[in-house]
Amino acid sequence: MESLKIKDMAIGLRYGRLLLIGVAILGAIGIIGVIQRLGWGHKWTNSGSYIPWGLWVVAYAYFVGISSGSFLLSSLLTYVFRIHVLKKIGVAPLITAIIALFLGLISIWFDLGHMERVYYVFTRPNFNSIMALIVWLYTAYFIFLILELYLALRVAASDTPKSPLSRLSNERALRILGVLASLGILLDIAISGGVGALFGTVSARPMWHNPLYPIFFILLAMISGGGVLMAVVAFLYPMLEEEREAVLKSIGRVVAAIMIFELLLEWAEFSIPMWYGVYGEEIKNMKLILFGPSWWVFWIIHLLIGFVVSLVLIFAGRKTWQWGLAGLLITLGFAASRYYNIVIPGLITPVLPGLEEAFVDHRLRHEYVPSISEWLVFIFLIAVGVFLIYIANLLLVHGKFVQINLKEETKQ
Amino acid sequence: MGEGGEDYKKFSNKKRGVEGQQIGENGKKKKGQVIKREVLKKISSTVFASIVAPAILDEVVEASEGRNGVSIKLPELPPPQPNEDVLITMMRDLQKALQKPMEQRKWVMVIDLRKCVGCHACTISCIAENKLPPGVVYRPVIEEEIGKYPNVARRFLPRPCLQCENPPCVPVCPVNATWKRPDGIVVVDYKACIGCKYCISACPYGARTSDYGEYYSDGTPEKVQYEELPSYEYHYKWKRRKKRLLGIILYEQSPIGNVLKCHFCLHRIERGLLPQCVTTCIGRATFFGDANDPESLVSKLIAQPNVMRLKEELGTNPRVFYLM
Repeated sequence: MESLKIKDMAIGLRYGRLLLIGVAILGAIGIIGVIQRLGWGHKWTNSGSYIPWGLWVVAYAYFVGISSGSFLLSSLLTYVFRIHVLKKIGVAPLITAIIALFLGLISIWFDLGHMERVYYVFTRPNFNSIMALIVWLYTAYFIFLILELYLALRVAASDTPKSPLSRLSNERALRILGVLASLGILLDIAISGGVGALFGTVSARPMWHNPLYPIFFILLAMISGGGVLMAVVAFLYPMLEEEREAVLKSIGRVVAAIMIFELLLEWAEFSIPMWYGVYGEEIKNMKLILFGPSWWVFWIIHLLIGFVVSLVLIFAGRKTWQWGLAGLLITLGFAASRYYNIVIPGLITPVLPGLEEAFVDHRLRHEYVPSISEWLVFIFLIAVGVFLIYIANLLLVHGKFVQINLKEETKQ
Repeated sequence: MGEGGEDYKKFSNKKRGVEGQQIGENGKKKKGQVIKREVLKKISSTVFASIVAPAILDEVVEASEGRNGVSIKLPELPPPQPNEDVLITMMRDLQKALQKPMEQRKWVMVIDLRKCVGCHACTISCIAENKLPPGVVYRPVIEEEIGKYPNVARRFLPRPCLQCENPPCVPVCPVNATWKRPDGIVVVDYKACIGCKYCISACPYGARTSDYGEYYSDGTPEKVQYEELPSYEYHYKWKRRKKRLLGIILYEQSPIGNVLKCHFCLHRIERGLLPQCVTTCIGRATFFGDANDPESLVSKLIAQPNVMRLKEELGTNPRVFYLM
């Protein structure tokens, strides 16, 4: 096998052992939460009958957003806006999308009261329900991603002499991939928008019942997915350093633009109902987000770290790790906090005042802070995700499947 | 698993429970089908019978197992009298309604807020009747304090499931595990519910709750036997159990993990008994009956001008009416 120049390896691959140790520690801590879930059901969760959805539903929306967003963003930029440099990241969005979708579905599976009945969504679906619809769409999306990855790897295999995959001629491949990409864009919009519709169609929750929610979720998906892509390209994907910079700059600027637009919509979402302070149920939820006990989620994590710091890093950054860090801050700061501030505050205001005091029980409360167990599961999923992305990228470099983008540099 | 399979099959079949009406609508006394007649006959007071019925319902349900179209012996009522207890009037209305096919009945509940004293007996009796675990309550009574001391008034608002005519909780279910029956009751198929809790989020009244598999005696030295007793919701004997393998939960038996809600004590009304909250209301503030019968007590009550319903602006068209 041809040897690679060390500078073309991403930081994460160069310091792979360190990364693996970190992931192993996170995974070892996080698995306690998984064991608690499997061994004791929902006993260690802090959700209840009045706030039925907690951190795992937030995680589900977040991971699914990353999945659809990473692929949607890269497809749009590559095929619609013709930013050709993004072709250099090849299968990175596909790998990210597959792994994130897997994590999202695991997360929501853990949240079910009857995990063993999950297949009922296929055997007795109610297609009037947004939830059933998007589960079917996830299935179609998953099949699509696998097919797309298989074809993409076969195209890449034409450059890899020892690849076990049969080669696919470029012309034919491009034709098939072109059709699939347009189908993929539609699926991505349906999935990310569908999660928004999952909340937006619930008229019982005034804050969620917002026609713009599907749009918010499409934008959020592209922001969170774009952030993850930036981190993957900066830290894990094997490619030439100049190309890495070019790709990061392109994605970074586009993600920044979408973030600004999303924030504009957020301003409209908050300011319109709150302007005169006249009674509206959603005002209570918004006041909670801005000035409630978890005010720092919005002001510190979402705005300061997620938005301001990451924008500074994107536009003033000179090194790839700075853009990678910006990507992490965007996805874990800006996007994750927004998902959290949509799901939880939407449920936290009582549908009928006085309900909590009418019958007192720890599962009948209108307060919610994720339990340690819930956090541990989330950490576990993050660790699994990073591990799988690392392994997938490692296979691309050292594995026999493909060697990408390094042809000229690796010839010695 | 629980018992009472035939009745439950009828309840949860694709016809959305239409066949379930067979219970109780045929008042003929057939040999071998009259259930525990002697037991009920011994109880002289009908009101008392309706209170203690849950205790003997175990036998009633088991006796009806495996029989299709079994007819249930309805409690015998005294002849109508002036100034009789409204409970007897309502039981008479109930029995009359049960003679009709299910789609011709429309169960409604009326709660007179002027009579409610906030004793919470309905809440507790409902929990006892349906063996509700922690985190699950079908009929909380919301207490409201109006004014400032010393000019203070209190108001109580019992909140069962409102059995909306246009229930927002039904279309969201991804697996068709919940639906509105022709007689107006919104039910949950415990064997189909996957526990996604989407319907809880979708209910504008907070009337759906989830069974987290807990017991009131958790953390105490002794598990109270009462908590192990089965419930009989939807004519089925539900035993809350967790199947484990090497300490890991393989699965939790329904209703653990399910979404639960008030069903107007369906298992009682189809046997001619009033919902437990109605029976135990010490102020006779809760009324129940068939709104399709213009002669019924509830029909007369909801025709009054001082009727209101919760969150009417949502268009849910609740079947629970409040008298102000």
